[in-house]
Amino acid sequence: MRTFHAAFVRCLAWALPATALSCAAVVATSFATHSIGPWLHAAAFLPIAASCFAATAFWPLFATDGDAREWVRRATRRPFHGLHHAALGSLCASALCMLALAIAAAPFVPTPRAHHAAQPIGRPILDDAQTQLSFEVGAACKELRLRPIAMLPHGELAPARVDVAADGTRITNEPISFDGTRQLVVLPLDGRRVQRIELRLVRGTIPLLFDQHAAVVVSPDTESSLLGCAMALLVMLVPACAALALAMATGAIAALPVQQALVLTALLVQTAGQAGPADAALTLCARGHWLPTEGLLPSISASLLVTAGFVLAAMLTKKAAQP
Amino acid sequence: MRRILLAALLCAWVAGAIAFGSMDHALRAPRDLVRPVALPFLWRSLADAAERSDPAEAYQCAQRLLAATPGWADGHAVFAFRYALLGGATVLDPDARAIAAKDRLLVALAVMEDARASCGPKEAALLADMAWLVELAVRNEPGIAPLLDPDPAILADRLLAEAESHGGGRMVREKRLYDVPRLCAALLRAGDRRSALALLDEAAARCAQSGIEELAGEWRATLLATRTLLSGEGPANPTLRDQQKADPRLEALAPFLR
Repeated sequence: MRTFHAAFVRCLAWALPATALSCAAVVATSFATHSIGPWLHAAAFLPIAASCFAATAFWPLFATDGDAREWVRRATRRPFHGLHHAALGSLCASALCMLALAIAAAPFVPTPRAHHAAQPIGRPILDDAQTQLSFEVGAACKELRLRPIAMLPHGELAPARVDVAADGTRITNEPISFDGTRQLVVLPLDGRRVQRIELRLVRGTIPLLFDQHAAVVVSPDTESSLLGCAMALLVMLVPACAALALAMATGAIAALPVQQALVLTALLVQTAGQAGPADAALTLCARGHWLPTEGLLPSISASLLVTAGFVLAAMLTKKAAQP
Repeated sequence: MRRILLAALLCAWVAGAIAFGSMDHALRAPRDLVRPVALPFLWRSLADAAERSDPAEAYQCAQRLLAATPGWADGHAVFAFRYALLGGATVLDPDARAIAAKDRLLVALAVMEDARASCGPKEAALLADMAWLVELAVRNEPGIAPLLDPDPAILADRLLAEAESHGGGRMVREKRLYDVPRLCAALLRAGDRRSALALLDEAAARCAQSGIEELAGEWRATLLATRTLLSGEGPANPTLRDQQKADPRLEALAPFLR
């Protein structure tokens, strides 16, 4: 517990200035550019990286080149010799910094709303053979977002013209025209509950394919911006977990500069490299999506599974390194 | 000690760059260093925004990409055209649609205007693209014409005139002279008959000086005939009037040819 406390304080001491800098940068750039855009990603990365660096520099068993390494190894219990407490301290410090950043960023994030993908009934294609397509909704709708895939035209190119109806009532005065793939059409609705959306191909030669996210319904209910922002920023702890677990696994074989390079690389791959849930969570938050409805759980679980693998490897390497 | 020395060196370099050049000079080297690292991420965020978000966010991503690639006039034109002409994702009633289209056009023109300084020798091409954008936006959404001040034809001509003064080539000169009827119609709509006639005189003179056979001959004669009809000088000539009204290049002037 003392290791946890000491690591927490040390990591907080490193991460707090980074958090202050990040908060200032987010506020300034959001004011200047009228959008939180990619700045939230950079602002979240800085304190996380600082905290992970602090943990690896603080606890001697994260690297092979510390003077106190052998002494600490003898004085602490197996299997991790305090590494897990140090990592946990770092994660708690990071969590605290992320919450502070959430408070600073929340006023600049669009109000989150739940986005639900509407499920097509039957073959999800509008073409000459199937001119009508229905979607099961069963929820209140503020707007309907259509973004189908336009396939190769049958015969001479003529944009697909589509009529849209909600529960049998037309919601478009004139048919909507689709002539490009993933062309976005936003249909404002009055927030009433809709059971079914019906699309009817009026004319045109371009077949439209409505895949999983081609028809999205936006809820009229707004959620808390602060909560949405906090959830997105706390997802940043997932890459930090994996990076620290990797550092634990390689602690017996690598010196501190190598360890820190590994941690940085692991964080970059999982954030800027999009190999994990963090980048998607922050992007969705910046676009005004409500995270619990976005299906990020599989991605988070996969990252945590990788983390568990690294922790297992850490146990094995520590065991092998016993004299 | 080494860190202090490095920090002092950095400060001296920045101060020197600002003293002998500008802030842009000071930032050029770090920007050049960061660019290769940042570009793949900027492209990816643009692709992601284009595929999953709305056109406004895609245009913001495009602007960040363009900020990292100064001097890319074609890029500015492509992304501005895409935003201004195809950015109307929301289905609105005609009035609201026209207002939204006008807002998008003005944003795109402002961004392109801002980019002019970084485009160097391609500035004239960017200005010509801006003129094209105004025309295409009006053609795409005719409702924005009354919302624009000055009239779209006048705005486009100003941009082309600036392109010409910045070394725009024969294409810009020709386009400007062929666009005279629309500019003339805009002036007539505004009740400025004298300027419209002066414009036709000037255009005829410029056609004669252009050294392009088609402009100096047939097009100049057409413009002079139009001037005669508009000024009301000389006897009425119904044949000429019908001939002029039938000319698709003079379509904008048809309501004024009496």
